[in-house]
Amino acid sequence: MKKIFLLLSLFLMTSALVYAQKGTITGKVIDESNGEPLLGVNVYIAALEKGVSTDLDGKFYLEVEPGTYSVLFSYIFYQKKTVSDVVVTDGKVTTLNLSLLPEDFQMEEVTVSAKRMDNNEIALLQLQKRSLSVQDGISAQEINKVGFTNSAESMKQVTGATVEGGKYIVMRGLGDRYSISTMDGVTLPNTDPYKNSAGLDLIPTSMVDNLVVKKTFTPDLPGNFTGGAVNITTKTLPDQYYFTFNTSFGFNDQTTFNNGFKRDRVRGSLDWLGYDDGSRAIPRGFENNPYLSNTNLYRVQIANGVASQSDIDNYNAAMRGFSDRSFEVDNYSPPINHSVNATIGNRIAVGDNYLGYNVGINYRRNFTQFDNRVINSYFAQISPENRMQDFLINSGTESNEQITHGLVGTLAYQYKQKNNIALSMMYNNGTDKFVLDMTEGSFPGALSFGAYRNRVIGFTQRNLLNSQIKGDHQLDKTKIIWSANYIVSKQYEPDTRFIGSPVDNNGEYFFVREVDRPFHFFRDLVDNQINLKLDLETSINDKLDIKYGFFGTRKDRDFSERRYQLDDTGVPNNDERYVTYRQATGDFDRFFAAGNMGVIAFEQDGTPIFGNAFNDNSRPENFYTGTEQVLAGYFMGVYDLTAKLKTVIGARVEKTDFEVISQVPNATPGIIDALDVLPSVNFIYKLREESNLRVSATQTLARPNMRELAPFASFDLLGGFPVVGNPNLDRTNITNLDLRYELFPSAAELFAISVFYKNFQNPIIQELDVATDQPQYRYVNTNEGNIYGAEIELRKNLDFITPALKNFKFSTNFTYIYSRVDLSEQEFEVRRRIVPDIESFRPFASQSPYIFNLMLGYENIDKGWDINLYTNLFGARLFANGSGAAPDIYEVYGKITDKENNRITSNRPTPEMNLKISKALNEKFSVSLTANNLLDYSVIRYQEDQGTFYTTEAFNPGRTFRLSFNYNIQ
Amino acid sequence: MKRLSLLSFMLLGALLTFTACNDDDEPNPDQGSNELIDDYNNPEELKRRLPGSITTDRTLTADTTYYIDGYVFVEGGTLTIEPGTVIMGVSQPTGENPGNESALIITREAQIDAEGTPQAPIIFTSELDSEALGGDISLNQTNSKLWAGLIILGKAEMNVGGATEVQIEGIPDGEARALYGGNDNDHSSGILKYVSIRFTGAEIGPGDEIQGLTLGGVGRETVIEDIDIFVSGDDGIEIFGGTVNIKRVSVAFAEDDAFDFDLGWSGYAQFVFALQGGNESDHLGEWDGASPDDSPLYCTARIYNATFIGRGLTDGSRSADAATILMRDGAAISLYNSIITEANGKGLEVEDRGDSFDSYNKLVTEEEYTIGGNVWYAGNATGIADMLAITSGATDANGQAIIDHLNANGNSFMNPMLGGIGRTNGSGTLNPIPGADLGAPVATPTEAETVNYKGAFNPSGASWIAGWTTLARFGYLAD
Repeated sequence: MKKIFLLLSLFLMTSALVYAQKGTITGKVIDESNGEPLLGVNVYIAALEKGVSTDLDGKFYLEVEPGTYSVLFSYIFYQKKTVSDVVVTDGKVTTLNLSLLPEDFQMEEVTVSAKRMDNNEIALLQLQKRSLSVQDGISAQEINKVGFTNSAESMKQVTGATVEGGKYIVMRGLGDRYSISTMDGVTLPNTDPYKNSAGLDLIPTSMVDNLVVKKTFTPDLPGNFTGGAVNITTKTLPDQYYFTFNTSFGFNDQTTFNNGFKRDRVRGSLDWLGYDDGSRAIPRGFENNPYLSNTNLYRVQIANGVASQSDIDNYNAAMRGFSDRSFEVDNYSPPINHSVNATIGNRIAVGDNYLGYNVGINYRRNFTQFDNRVINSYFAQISPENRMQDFLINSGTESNEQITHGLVGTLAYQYKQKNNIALSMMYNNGTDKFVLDMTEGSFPGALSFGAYRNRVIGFTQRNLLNSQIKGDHQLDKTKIIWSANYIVSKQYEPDTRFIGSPVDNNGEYFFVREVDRPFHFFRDLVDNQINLKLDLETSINDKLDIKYGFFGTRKDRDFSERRYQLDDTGVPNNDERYVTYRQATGDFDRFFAAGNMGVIAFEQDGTPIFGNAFNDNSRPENFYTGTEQVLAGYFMGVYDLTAKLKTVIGARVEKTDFEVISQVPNATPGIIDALDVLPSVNFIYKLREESNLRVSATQTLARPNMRELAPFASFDLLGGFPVVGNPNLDRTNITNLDLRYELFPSAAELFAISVFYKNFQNPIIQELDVATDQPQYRYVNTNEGNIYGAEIELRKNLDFITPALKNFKFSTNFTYIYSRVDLSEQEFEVRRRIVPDIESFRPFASQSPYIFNLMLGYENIDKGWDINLYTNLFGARLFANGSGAAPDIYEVYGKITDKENNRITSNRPTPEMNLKISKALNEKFSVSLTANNLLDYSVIRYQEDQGTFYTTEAFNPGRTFRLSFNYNIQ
Repeated sequence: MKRLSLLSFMLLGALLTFTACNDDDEPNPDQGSNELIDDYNNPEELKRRLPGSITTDRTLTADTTYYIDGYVFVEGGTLTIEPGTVIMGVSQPTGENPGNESALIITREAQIDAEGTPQAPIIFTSELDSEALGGDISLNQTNSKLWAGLIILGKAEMNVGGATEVQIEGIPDGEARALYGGNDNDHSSGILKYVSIRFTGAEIGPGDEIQGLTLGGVGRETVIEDIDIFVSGDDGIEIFGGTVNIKRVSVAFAEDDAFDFDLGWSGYAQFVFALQGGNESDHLGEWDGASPDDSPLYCTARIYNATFIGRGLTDGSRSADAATILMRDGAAISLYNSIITEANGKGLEVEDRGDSFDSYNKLVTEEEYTIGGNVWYAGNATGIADMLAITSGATDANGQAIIDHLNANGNSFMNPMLGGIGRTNGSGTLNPIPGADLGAPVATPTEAETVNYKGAFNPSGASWIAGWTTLARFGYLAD
């Protein structure tokens, strides 16, 4: 921590030095007809006889004495625009974003007042209005208003978006498989092997310029999205000098100072930063250790007296290597959540050129306690009257400590206004330390009597290092945009520990076969990814622009899972030298003590007494390597058929080469080798100046991820079923039809209605395998899926009711979706035999039938108040499939009203409601208070049978209140 | 390295064998040449090391020791094994299946013809078992999981949630050769007679071991008789559905359940013996009915003349509340004229969850099956009245109706005074013949051989486990 503060004070000092006694006018100029930035627009202040021209991004930057000015914007063949009343104050920056109309619209020179401008939100809406595809977005400004701290949370505001597990974007009801996340146009790798798109929670909002979601495909976008393509634009060449510092303190009503919080007894010196210092790493020499992988052989040798002393010593060392990895947890009273965040950037004139930089640093430590964590499972009978039978009923607590930190640095150079080159490095690390402590439970599926307790202790570290060089250049009629990235992403899960204990009627612990013996589990995933991207835009004439380019990506993955499990074969039953599990009853440290492991003694005749052992249970299929390579080229034209009708037509060709190979010899590798042509046809009809009608027909793809192709069964630590990959999976081909009407009544207002239809051939689903006698999930292609949807969105100032409400505005959107995807024929045929009326289809996974967002805002710039109330509501969504006679599992945010059974009594959702109140104290300092989850929902997963909602999982995040202090100079 | 250390151990073992070979057993003259070596160009070696896939008729002869090195699927034809043949599972497979465990799988399309004799039983064991090759005893009852085991798959009926053919547990998913089940209840998978299966149960997947002998959907024309299962890391024998009958099966030192039945097995068993050992073992009988519990097809098997010896009346390593025979998930398995003794907890649990299809209802209300003529003796009970383990939340909280059934059907609670219980090799103390007068057996359905005694052994005849089983050869049995 000290180092961070040192760094921060350094920033503060530098900022004081840079501080200048002039004001700045900056902004961006775009072409109103297509939203593209305009290069070379003259920006001139007559009063000062001073001017500049805009750069490649349409941006300009003008340093002037304090005062009030009129600024003239002029550009050949474009209408001139004068902005009056531009106030420039000492050391402050005034932003002017505007658009110019081509002259053929025959309009007079216009003058607008600066008081009506300066709003990122407006700029984004402008972008939306002019975009070639249906898109939606949120600006950094909006993100700040609602008080979200990472990019994933921010996405909730986007029409049709929901967020799964706090990380993954679900667009238009389509889960992470059908949505992609890009940063500056480059696909982010996913660190979770089970997910298709990257978790956006690693990207702090302080590094984000804006978030844009494309909902329809144009050939210049990756072909593997169907729901939405999220693009995060990070800050590059800043408009001016800025420095921001933010620190926040958070309180959660069921976590902070709650002494029921549990934490791992294993702690390392770097835990505070989210790194493991080796305390949880695989003990040295434990990988492919013969004593652990062939324990039985050495036991036989030792028992027969043919093992050497070094074998015995090595055997003992191996068996005792985990003795300091306790299965015990400690109580802890979590302090206040806190975060620190600082960013600095500037643009420096170097002759006629500019050099810019941004440096950011952030650190966050957050505690979460779910004080009612429920994990149940049921066994379903065929006869409806007795359908849901308890299999495992479990409740307790889950304690999480999350530590994230990141560093970002960019260096940008602009040459002769026509060339930008930027180098950037971004590093982010997020670590979750968790303890799941299920203390109340029964296990009727395996135990006829007694109780069942279990505990999982884990540490999951994810990190992302992205190095990028990118550039854009304006040649005569052609604009070239290119980028190259090298990305390393990792997910590291060292020493996840599981211990499950049946407890008999006397309170004594024992083992049964149906419960896994305690184990230590390690998982490691490393992805190395290279991306190359080249886009060219050429203006052929004033009616036709063409855009063409190349994209290549290659990702190499190395994955391993290892499991070391207790083996108590051959331990003595009644021997004072050995402590049995029953004797230890709950004192795990005693049971796993070094003296209770390995060869604990020799009898006088040399017969060894064996204590506990560990087996390396890793199988060859737990190790896989994979390559994902996609090469793509595209060509598209933007053609103005008439003054009002514009068309975007083109196609993208994608060559997919995936190969996943596990260490199992002779196993079928998962291979996808396909060439797809993805056409896209869009029409944009300008009904009136402020409204558009859009129609589009496109084809897109969805590909399985490497985990899904890798043919191995992985175990679920929380007692869920194993998940098995399928090397025979094929990609999914999707046809999309979209129709949208949009109206922009004024600069900050929007009304839009969209309808869409999507058809999926060979959709990939996760189903419970009907071809095994033990339940397990597997991935299969089924026949077909269809989605029908409608969206409506509205952003409006409330001054139309009465002028007194001029500081109030609201935005709302509503999405309705009907989706169905076929069951696999095998699943349908088998399950129909026991549930004759079973449907042959179900909704798409993670799909909500409806999503509703509402944001109410009050903003009083003069007094410095900014208050926003944000609400998100979504209907129950499919979480996992049932098998046999068991209904599917759905997820909803709700309230547990049947406390005795930990059940909801209705699946009507509870809204998520957040409130943020900000007050600017002066020009540099502001304070804000954020309250999240005001209505205190719980996340509930359930199986519904005859009106009863059988909980399979539940947890309650509680209410969080956060006070943050911002220091901001420009 | 692993292979090297294994080899050196084998050599050492051979040396020990050589120095001690003037023992009672005659050493196998071929033993030296039978040792497995990693030379894949050597035709002899290829002959010994069974390939991963056998698709046509093949005969294994007694003059060779064969090795199962990873999964060996018999996909077609008949695998004929001569009496006296020894087949060894490799501990750390290297050949075609490195990293997998060694298992022999007779698929639905193939048959096995393994007919040994009491003088020359066929032995499936670990490569570490020198005794099988005529050497000294190198292993004991704690040495489970040295290889996976023997799996036989057939085409007779089974049912899981509507599916009539599924993949056998233990084999990684997506292996079509591991499917079993069908509708041919008269199907034959061949003959297994005078066969020893030793030291099995290596973990195939995470938490996934297979039994000494696994029978999946095996049909009634299959012969499974005179089987010796000695030390298993999982169950001794598990039967998934099917119609096969089994006779004279001995399970010693299974670390899970000795006899585990599932998914609608409808055959019968007569003369079966189980001996539990270390503190790992679970039930002597885990008898599940079906999945789900109210499937139309559930276990309706009949067990006649079992002798089951538990872990010891005072053994404290397992919950004293646990049953020795667990009947659940809708099972309706009859048990006649058997001896269940040395149980460390309770005697019997008949699952009672208040459903019309549970094992309790099928016994008490429907009277679909009978538990008759048995002798029970458990450490945490004093009589029939308190020997039941009661399902949590049972409708019949005291199990009175079950007690009434047991009393009405000639069950008794008493110490059968077996001749000797020995769990140490070489002790020569195990004698499962009861010393107490157990009364006359009750009448049974006529499919069973009619005998005038309770338990697996004829007190006045030759013991079927004598001479050839591992219990006999390792010196557990009293003379």
